[in-house]
Amino acid sequence: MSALTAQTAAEIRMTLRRGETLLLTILIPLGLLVFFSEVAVIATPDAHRVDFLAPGIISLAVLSTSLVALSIATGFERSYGVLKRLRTTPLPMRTFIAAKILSILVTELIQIVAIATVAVILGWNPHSSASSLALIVLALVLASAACAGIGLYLAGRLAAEVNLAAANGLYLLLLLGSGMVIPTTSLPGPFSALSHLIPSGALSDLLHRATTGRSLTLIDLLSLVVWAIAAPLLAVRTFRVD
Amino acid sequence: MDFGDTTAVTDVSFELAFGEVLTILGPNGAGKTTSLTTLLGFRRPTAGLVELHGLNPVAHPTQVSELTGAMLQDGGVWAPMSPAQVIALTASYYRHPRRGTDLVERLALGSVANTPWRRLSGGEKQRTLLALALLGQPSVLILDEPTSGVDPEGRDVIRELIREETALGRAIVLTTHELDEAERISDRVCVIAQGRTVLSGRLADLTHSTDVVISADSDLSRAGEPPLGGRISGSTLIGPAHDADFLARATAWLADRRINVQSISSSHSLESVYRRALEGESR
Repeated sequence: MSALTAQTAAEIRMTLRRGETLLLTILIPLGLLVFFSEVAVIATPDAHRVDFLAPGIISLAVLSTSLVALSIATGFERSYGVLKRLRTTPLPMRTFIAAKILSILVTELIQIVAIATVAVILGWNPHSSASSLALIVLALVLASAACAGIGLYLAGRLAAEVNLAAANGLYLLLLLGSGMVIPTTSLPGPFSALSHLIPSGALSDLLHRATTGRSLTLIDLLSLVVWAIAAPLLAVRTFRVD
Repeated sequence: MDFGDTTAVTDVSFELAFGEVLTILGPNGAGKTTSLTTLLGFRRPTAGLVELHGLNPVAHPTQVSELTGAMLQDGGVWAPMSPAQVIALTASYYRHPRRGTDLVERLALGSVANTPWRRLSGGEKQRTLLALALLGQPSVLILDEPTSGVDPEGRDVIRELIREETALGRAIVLTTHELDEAERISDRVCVIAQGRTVLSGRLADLTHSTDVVISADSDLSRAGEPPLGGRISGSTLIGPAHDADFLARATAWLADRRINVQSISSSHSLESVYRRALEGESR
């Protein structure tokens, strides 16, 4: 078995066996989807609440896996000396990162299937076309890269406990300010505009537009491209294993 | 090697041949671990040259790692993984790994092979890390305090393994605070203080003495005039090693006084050599 295959399989096994990760990546998004779809707590711009919530919750799933879970796990790997030991083996850092990205994509696939299934059961009826599907995949990949870059940057600079707090704080902040469960139109003026400049906000808006057949805004795509390049570069340049 | 305004290591050099063990000694904060991690390419030296296998370890980390096994003090393993799992995973990083089961057996890890890392004792963790360092059949092995936190039986296993690996032609660099351990397993010693090499060489040369030292089981300072050519220091009687008759005179002198001999040695202990080196540095 190649190092990449073995490392990816190990990463997936560890992710799926970590109780707190499953809570963060599967149970909380599904809980939010069901609760806010069934209980009229917030006013949504779409006729059916689930049409607004499903793409938002998929964005939340990306945020929770690519940024929060990855950052916390990597932070503790760094704190426990795992990364330092790996540095003494011939496993190239790029292979290690590739394994992490592959495990993220597998986890996200599981999340999206679970969320989409529950959403359809709740009445979600997304607009579907080849172009919208391609755009959704592109947006998910770009957002995953951007969030992973931010998560790795935090994990590579902060102490594990500080990173844990920072990642969870960021999760809450982005959950509320990215149009995932609360429409950005409900946010105070400048925050609504700013949400398009952060990767989770841009992803959420892109997915909403793609799944409801609305035209896209260039700012969302541009924002994701910039974050997807800049954040991983910053992480690579600043990451410390010890 | 600088960290901000602090210079951690400024002048450290040592030689080592394949099939030899070099032990780096020094007080806490002397720069032992920094020297090893710099050698492994963790950081670029502020000045000077570091090469391992003729390669710059910062520029060629993968190639250097294929030829070098390392066990660092605070190296770790994923908490849920067992020794068997992490050995199998780490074996996939190498082109020609050793059989993991052989290392598990050799390092007496069989009973905990499937126990998660977080439940292993300190000694079991150290032996697992040593197994990981040996997986790639390295020609150079770097071990930072390999017996730290290990029980006496575990230490014996590790020391025996170090001897076996040396006999296979591997070059081993290790650090320890155990001078007795260093004396037992080292071919060469390098003493570091305040980031500088203060003593370096073959153990046999460093501990060689022109004196013969006889240790008695009691204080000799009131035992009277020492035998011809000898001098007394506490409970030891010291005389010239080149005088073949001195030993006979000394043992007869001790027997007359009904004083028992504990040991006879014609070399300095590593501990005395180490302490002298550090005292010389602090003056």
